[in-house]
Amino acid sequence: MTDCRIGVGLRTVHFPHLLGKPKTALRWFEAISENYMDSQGRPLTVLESMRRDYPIALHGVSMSIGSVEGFRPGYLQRLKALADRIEPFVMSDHLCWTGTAQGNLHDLLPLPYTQEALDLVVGRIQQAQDFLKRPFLIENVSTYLTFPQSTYTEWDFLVEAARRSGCRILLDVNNVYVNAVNHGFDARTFLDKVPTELIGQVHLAGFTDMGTHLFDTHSRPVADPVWELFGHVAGRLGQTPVMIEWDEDVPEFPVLEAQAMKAAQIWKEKNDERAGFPAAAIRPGGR
Amino acid sequence: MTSELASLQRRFAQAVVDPSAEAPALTPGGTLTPEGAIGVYRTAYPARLTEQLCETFEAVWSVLGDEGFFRRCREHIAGHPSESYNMSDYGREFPAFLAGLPESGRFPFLAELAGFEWTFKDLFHQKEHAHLDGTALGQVGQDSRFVFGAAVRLLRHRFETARIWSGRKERLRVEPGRTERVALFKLGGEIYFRTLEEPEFALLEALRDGGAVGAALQASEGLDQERVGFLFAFLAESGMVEAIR
Repeated sequence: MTDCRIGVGLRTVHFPHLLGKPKTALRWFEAISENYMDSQGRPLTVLESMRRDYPIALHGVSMSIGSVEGFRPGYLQRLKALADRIEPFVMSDHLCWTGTAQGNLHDLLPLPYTQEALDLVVGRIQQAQDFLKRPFLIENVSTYLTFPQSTYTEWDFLVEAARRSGCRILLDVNNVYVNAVNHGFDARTFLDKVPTELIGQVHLAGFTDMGTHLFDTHSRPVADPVWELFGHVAGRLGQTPVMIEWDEDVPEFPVLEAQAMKAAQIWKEKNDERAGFPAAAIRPGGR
Repeated sequence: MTSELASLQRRFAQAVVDPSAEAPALTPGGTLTPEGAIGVYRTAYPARLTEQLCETFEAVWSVLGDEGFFRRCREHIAGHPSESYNMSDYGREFPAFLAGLPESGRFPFLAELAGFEWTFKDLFHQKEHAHLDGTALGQVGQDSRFVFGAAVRLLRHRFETARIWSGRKERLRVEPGRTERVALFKLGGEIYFRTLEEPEFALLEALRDGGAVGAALQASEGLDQERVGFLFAFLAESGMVEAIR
């Protein structure tokens, strides 16, 4: 077993630091696709520069896989053009919808977990994969409501969408925890129901407790219960890439890096444990 | 679009942008009420677009102050849904929206300032063109014609808008009736601008519009040899010219 394939989200506030080519144990970076698809400006120049030194994942927020209206005109073409330029090792987006033709709400909106919604997202994912011709992942999202007409659990819906479409899953452990608290299910059940072979990447992030619900803000360090959940799943991840997302109140790069190193340490301990390797160091001279 | 899912999405989206619209049946998360649960999405939508307007129109924000700017953002968002998948596209209509507001009486430069900020952002995302160096520019003949790069804008302002933009963090005094001519360009990944006197600016416009160098110089009034020399030096430094035909 080699080191954890740990990465972080590439954010503009860290560009100056990263362009100085600092020494880091990070193995890869994830870029938000839409920030680069329509720009020929400095962000794209920086992304291309980063790509020369690291593998890059392209993570979208606007594909709107679950929209009944289909993909927006030109979206897949522009995304593919970016991918052809960056050559990401994986591409992903969310299992949600983001608006209607009348208006994009720029949010990861919840789907009802119904047969109709499942059939729709499976078709869309297949359409995206056929067009992009690259490995594609769908991510579970945080939600603040559910729909009474749902006939699947969230995890069954997610797994079934991946299985039927042939894509894999970007497992966001923070989103699992947020939804478990918001909707009252056992987060470990969710994680246990996702087959290892379907997990293509893992996200970790921080949430905000709003008093009435947990809100997926990506503005804080990863919370202790989310670290514990990550520990629950880390032992079976193998070389699956893991990354830290931080999008609001983004800290200095070393703070983000420290979160990533914590994830790598948990991954290592869990993998050692799984391999039967002792967790604590043997003291010199000890028996 | 008559399916159950289509109906749900249409009603959900309507309930997010219009608080008076009835949301579809839902089960709220946490200890939220149904209204509170849809409210999470209802709050996030204008917040994201306002954040985008703040980022693009920083100088307008500074002129109007927090209260005035955020009120106008709310009104703009209510009447102008975001149609693009890219949030960065939001705000194209904001300058025209500002032009129709009473504040434009007190700050007559407001819409022009917003337009300048939008152009600035537009140029930021523009591909940087190849820059012709000074040696090539020094060898032009009377019949030569310049091809300006895509990341160049020549702007005639009715007010000293670029100066106001530069002083957006200081609250500059605005002199009424003073106009401005601005060359905005991208160089080395950064956006720069320079204000020019009318004769120099008119010559730049003539060259940008494809006029032959000799004819453009002949038509220019009030420019002596020295000022022409300075203008050509600026053309070389700014990298505005991409090619010579």
